[in-house]
Amino acid sequence: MKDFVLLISKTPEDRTFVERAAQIAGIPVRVVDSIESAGKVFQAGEIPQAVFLDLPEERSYREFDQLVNAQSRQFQEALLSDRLHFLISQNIDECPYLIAGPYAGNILKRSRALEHGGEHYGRILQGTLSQRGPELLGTEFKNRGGVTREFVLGRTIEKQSAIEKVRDLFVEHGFLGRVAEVIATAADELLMNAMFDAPVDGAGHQIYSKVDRSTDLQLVGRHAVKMVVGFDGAYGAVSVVDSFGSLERTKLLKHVLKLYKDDTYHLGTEVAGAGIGLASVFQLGGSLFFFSEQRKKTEVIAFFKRAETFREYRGHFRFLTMQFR
Amino acid sequence: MKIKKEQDGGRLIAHLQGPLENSFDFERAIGPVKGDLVLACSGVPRINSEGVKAWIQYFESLKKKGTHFSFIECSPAVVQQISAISNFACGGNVISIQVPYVCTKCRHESVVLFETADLKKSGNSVPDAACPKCGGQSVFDDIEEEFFAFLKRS
Repeated sequence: MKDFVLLISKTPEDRTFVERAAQIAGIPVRVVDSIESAGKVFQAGEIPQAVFLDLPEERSYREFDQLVNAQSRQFQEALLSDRLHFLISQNIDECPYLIAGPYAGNILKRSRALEHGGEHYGRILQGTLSQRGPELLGTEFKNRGGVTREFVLGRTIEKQSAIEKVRDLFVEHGFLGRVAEVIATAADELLMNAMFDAPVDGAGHQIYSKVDRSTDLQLVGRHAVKMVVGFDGAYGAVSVVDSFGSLERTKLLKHVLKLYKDDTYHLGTEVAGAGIGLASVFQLGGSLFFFSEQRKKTEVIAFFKRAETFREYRGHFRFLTMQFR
Repeated sequence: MKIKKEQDGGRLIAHLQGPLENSFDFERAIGPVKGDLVLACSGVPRINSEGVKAWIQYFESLKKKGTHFSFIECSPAVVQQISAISNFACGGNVISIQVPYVCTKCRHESVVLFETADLKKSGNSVPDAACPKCGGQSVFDDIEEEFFAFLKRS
C-alpha cells in the first residue's frame, strides 16, 4: 500500500476538498483526470491508501469497474470498497449503479460548501484508515476544546430521557431547534439499532429484532450500550457503540440506501423501522459513519453541521461512510 | 405523545402533543371515531421510524374502515414525513401546514401557518414575514422543492 491518496476528477472543487482532507490526514495527493490515467497509476503497481472518484454516470462507473477487474487479485483485495470515496452531485437515488455495485463504501454528496468540508472529512478519512476504529468524537471535539457527554444506558426504557437530554443540550449550546430535533431523532434511531437490532445469538440470528421497541430490557454485559454526544463551533455528533459487531454491509445498503431508489418511498406497515430511521437522518442533513468490527463492536456516528439557518444546514455536504473490519 | 380531544359537531379533533416515538397506540389514545377525524399536528416536534410505522398502521386501518380524516397545522416535522414518504398521509387531506421561518436579523426560528390550497395557488411561494421576536424580516427556512414536495403529488 503506497502512502498517497488518489483523486480521479476533473472538478477543481473536488481537488480543493480532497487536498484539504488529505492534508488533515497527513497523506499526499495525486490527481488524475480520467479512469485511463488512473489505470496507469494502478498498472505501475501502486495501490493508494484511498481513492476519491467522480463517476457522474453509469458509463464511467462501468469503466472503473473494468479497470479494477483487470488488476491482480491482490490489488482488488487491497482496494476494498472501504477505501473508495465516491463524490456525487445527484441524490443517491439517482445513482442506482452505485448502490447496486460492489464498491459503495463511502459516498459524499457534494454541495456548494464542499470546499469547506475538506477539514472535517480529513478526520473522517483518518478514521477510515485507522485499524483501531474511528475514535472520531475524541479527534473531532475533545482535542479542539469542544464538549462531549457520555450516556451509559442500563435499560431500554432510559432511551427517551436520554434523547430529551441530548436535544436540550444542543439547543442550550446554540444549535437551531430544528437541527436539535434531527439530532435527537438520530440518537433515537442509533440507540434503537444498538438495543434491538444489533444483539445476535451464537448463530448470528437477531435476538430482539421482532420485539416491540417499547419493551423494557436490561442492558447489561454485552448488551450494554454507550452513547457519546459532542459538539464544537462547527459540528455536532452522536456516537452509539454496541458490542456485537453484527452490522452487515449488504443489510446496511439495503436498508439505508435502497430506500432511495424511489423518488419518495412508499412504506409498507410490515417494514422494520431502523433502516428507515437512518435513511431519514441522512435525508435530513446528517452524515453517517459506520464502523464495524465483526463480532466485536459496531460504532455509528452521525454528524450534523452547525449553521445559522436550517437551509444552510441542509445545504452542507454530507457523507455516508462504511468501514468493515 | 399526548392527545387532547375535542368534539366539534360531527367531527372529532385530536391535538397531538409531543414527539411521536416507539409504537404509539393511536387506537387507544384516540378511541372510537364517530364522523370525521381531524388531526391537529402543530405540537409534533419529531417522529422516529417506529412512530412512522405506528402512524401509517393507524391511518391505513382508518382508511379501510371508511373513516374520513384530515390533517391541520402540520408541524415541519410532520410535513417532512408527508413529503418524503408517499403514503404517509394515507389518503387524508392535508389542510394546513406550519411553514418554518428564520429571522434574518436575530435568527429567531418561527413558523407561519398556511392553507395548502393557498400554497398551491401561489406555486408554493411564501412571502417574507415579520419576526415575532424582533419585528425584523423573517424568511422561509428550508429547501422549497423538498419541503413542499407533497403538494406536487396531490
